[in-house]
Amino acid sequence: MNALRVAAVAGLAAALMTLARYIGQELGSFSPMAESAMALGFLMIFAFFLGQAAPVIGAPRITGYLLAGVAAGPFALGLVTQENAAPLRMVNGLALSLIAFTAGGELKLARYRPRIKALALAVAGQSLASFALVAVVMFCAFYFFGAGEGITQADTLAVSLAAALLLGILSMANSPATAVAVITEGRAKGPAAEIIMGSTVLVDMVVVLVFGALAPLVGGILGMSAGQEQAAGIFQHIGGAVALGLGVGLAMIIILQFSQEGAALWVSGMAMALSELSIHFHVSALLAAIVAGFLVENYSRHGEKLIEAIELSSAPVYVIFFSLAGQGLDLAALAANLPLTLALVFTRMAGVWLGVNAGLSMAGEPLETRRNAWQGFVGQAGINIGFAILAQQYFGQVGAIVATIAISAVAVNQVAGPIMMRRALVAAGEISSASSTQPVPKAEPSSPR
Amino acid sequence: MNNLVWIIILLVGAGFLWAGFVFSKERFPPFLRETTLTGWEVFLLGFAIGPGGFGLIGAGELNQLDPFIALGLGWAGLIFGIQLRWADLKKVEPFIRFLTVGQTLAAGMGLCLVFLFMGVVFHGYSASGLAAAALLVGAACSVSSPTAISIMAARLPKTSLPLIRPLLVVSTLDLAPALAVVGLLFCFFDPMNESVFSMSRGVALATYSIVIAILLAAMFLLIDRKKLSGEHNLAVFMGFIIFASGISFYLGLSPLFTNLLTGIILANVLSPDDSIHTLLHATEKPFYVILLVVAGLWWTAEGAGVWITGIALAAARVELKYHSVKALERFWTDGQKLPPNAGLALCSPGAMSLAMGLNFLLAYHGDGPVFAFGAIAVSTMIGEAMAPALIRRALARGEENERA
Repeated sequence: MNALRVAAVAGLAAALMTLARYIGQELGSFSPMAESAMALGFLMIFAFFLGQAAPVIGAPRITGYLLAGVAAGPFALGLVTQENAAPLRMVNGLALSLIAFTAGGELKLARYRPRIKALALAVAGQSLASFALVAVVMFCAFYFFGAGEGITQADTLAVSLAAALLLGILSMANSPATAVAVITEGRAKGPAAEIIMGSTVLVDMVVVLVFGALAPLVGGILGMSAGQEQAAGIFQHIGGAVALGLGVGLAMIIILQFSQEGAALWVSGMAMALSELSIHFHVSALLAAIVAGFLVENYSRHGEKLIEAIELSSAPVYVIFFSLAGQGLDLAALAANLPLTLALVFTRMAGVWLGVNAGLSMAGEPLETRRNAWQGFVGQAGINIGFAILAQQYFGQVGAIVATIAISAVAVNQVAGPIMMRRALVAAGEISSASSTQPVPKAEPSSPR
Repeated sequence: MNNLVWIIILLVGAGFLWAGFVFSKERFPPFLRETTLTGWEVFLLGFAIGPGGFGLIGAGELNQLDPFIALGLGWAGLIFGIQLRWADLKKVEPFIRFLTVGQTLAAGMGLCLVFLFMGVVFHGYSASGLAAAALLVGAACSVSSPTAISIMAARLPKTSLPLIRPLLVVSTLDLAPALAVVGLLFCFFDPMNESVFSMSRGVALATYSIVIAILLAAMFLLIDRKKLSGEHNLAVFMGFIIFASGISFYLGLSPLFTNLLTGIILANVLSPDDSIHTLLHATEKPFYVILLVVAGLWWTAEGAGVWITGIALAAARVELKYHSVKALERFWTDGQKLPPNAGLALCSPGAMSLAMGLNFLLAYHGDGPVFAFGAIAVSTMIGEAMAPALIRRALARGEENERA
């Protein structure tokens, strides 16, 4: 699209928002509660057009969506604030569930069976290497350069060790949502795409298990009794998510079996139900939705129907999800902790490179794949933020320090990750340069009103 | 964890039951099949999961639905506005235009008076609150929906088609005066100030509504939609509607009205075969369902007064439509033939009635709008359930006369 047109549209949108605020102030009559809808609409338009521009610089569209969220967010233009974004939680949850359905639906056992060894070794390699490297480097950083205000000399060793372990665990996590978005946008097909897609989903499950297993150890190091209960809570969290995912998946199979039309609406309804139930039962919506998508794809005949049902709404879903993610990035925390954050980011990147290369080498994958696939593991997003918040809740001041640095690192990885993933897939020759040509759907004859 | 297990079992069981019935209404008993012809029962699904029903979505979470409401209301206004192309409207016979405006005004005024009476009896409205609510109820309950007519038309003999066409046109166009009333109501009655009437505010906001609609239309026209794929068109379209509706909500305007104005501008600038028509119609069913579910979530169904008022409105609508069409026919027909009981075919209010009521409830807050919306919902459900039988009666008699 013509850059002048894009600028005109964005400018008109900003002008309309300004005009609305002016009129509201002049008449003394406006509803702050309505800001969320106005903010979301503006964000969608702004993010969409920035996303259209992103491929010009070799970045995937979701980078544009993310940057639009950052630009419109509280740390830049302030058009979308935390207050007016708060009522968008349900929309965000719906978007995440739909993306995770796709992630689970893309895990086709038949396709991945030949690559099980490569996936397992890539996951193991990336997890071990990034955990080890990050833990060592961050331990040294905390121990020798200070663990933070209020931490006494006597506590430095324990705090440094605990923080290093927690950051090591958090560094293992990836972003399945990013993988789904970049791979489906580019219609990427090939070994690197398959390894990235499969591994990013599996790694997050590993992180959940490792967090649960090591939480008591971290608690013990800090002299807290918190770890034991939280470990039990984590495993209940996993079990609950799997159970919910199986139930929703089963319901979706039945619905897809019988529905002649409107499957998209039903799937969206199930995504919304899953999202809300996950919050209600304190289980991971991401994990539950992946399990549901996996079940439909691999244990029914309706996997393609599920993907088709989600595909038409994929663009609005990605625009909403990633622009809200961008809006939520804590740039103030990033600025305040820049040295430690960059140390974490680059150490993690080195660990990912080392671990993935080693794993894929052991699996006998060709050099082309090994050289490029690691870049698909750089992205991080919501699951990291979720665990960072858990760490903050369980481990007091140390948890708070860890959360701040981890969330700052997510800000960097969330922007860099998609760019690196797309570059990797293009370099591997697995991404199509043709844009999506899905036609506008045909109108149906009835006209309900 | 036990709750989770039960909910999963419920989900799977509901999936079986729902799939068995919803996807194939042929399995319904005939009475149920007929009365749920237009799909209004989805409104009850929203009620069931909302705070008034099982509370799966609590009262405190309803504000999370703002984007969906913005999307549903905005889409409803836009899809109607985009049909109001002047070149097409000029081709509508003068009698049909006369009948459209005449029966809507007559029914609207009558229903307004019914609600004024009921409002005084059952609810302690302030004067301005009652005036605003009565105007809104009159407008919302006076509209007719073409859905039931077009579905029934497919089930009746082809000989009925000449009789059905004028009814379809009337039921499509009669939304225009109603939306105009609703739009101006929002301008002149301040929702942030207890529905107080203000001439200066009304004139200012009416003017601003037109300016905003022009700017929104300009923004939409600048988007180079030809180069976008289907899902990207949908993304920008949804963003546009939510944005337009968000601005309306912010200013206390009606998103139905703002998007209607935008749609009218677009209808008269874009070519008749523009892809927006395809996109709007392709998204009709899902957005219609979203609108019904969200409306159901907000309905509380409390109080005998709401039910009595709703029933009174439904009954009054049938009488007013029937007699107003008869009276207007006697006054002027211009040679047009209508079924003898044509007014009965115009008694299905449709989802737009609920949309107007919901819009009023969300903007004006308080017990008064809750009462008004509750009554509109009851009246709409009754109207939708009765519509197939009334249409059959209207058209069957017309066909008999044709044969005679």
